[in-house]
Amino acid sequence: MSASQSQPLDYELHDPDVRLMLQVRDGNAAAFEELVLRYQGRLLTVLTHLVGSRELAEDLAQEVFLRVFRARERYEPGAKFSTWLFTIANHVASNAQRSRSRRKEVAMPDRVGTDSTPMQLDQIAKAASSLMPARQIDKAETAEMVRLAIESLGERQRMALLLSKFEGMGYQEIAEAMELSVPAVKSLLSRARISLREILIPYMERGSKPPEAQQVPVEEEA
Amino acid sequence: MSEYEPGVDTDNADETLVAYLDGELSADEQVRVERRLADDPAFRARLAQLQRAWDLLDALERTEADDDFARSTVEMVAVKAADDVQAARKRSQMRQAWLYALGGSAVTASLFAGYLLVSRWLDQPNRELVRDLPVIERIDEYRTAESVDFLRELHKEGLFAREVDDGL
Repeated sequence: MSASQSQPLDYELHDPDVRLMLQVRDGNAAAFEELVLRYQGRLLTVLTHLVGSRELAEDLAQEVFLRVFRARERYEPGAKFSTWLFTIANHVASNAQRSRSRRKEVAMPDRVGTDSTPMQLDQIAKAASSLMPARQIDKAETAEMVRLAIESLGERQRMALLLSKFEGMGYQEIAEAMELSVPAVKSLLSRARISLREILIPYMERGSKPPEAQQVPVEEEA
Repeated sequence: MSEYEPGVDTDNADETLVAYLDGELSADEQVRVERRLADDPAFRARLAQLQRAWDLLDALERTEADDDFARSTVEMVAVKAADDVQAARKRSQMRQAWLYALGGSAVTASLFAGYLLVSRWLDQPNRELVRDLPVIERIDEYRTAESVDFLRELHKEGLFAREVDDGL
């Protein structure tokens, strides 16, 4: 398989953040603060794009750090620190999404699709392309379109994609963080990227060509 | 550009292309993909589109934490940790109280059982006295008899027919 599937590593030796966490386990509060400083941005980036709200992402990031601290006495370095941290983040985010979904079920229909049925792909593309009369694609519009495309993915696809994009994790590492098999991660990422292509490429092409020239089929996700 | 060649196994092809872009294929698989890319324009087009869509994700901004995020996080964790310690202490005290209550109950139950046993044991001589009372009352008469066998003989012959025979 991949190069990331290697022999078990001595994480304490190779990962300075594991060493920091071991200091936290031994009661070093400054080491905990250092870990927060090192990972706050990375965690907030993934969580913000995962849940679509900066405010909620901050709450979740704090919950993640709290769980890290609470787990300090039981901590054993069995993975890179970042992998362990994002495993916790995945749990925290999943719980939050479940709570939000339960609330939304009563209040309004969920606009985020599931893994197997991404919703409104073509609607999202059409809505975004109609925003810009002159079809001049600027960075803000692209970012908005990408954000909408990401939101249309299922939660697990989104997490796998964000870990791959922002954390540069390989399939093995994502599998560990999300507690899935490597083939499952491969499938998730593949479906996520196919969905993104279906949404974003037509949008980019509409941006450079007259609308009537666009007839790009949107494939159903497997 | 976005029209795909009919008959291509698109799902597998896309999964392979994504793994190729992610550098997750074995050396053999990689050679096979590159060979097909060289020969198959539709396959190349799919790869280019996947790569382009992936590159568009660069438009997503990385989130910077506010200046006081780390400080407020550490403070919140410190407060929660103190609460945890307090809660753990309370749980420990509760557990101890339950243990004391349980121990006290066990001691009380043992004492009660002991009392019952002892009181039954102490009652034994009294019960024997009550049982033997008819004999005791007539002990002088019984003493005139020479033996118990002689008395049994008299009993058989109906001498004590109107007597209470508890004493025998």
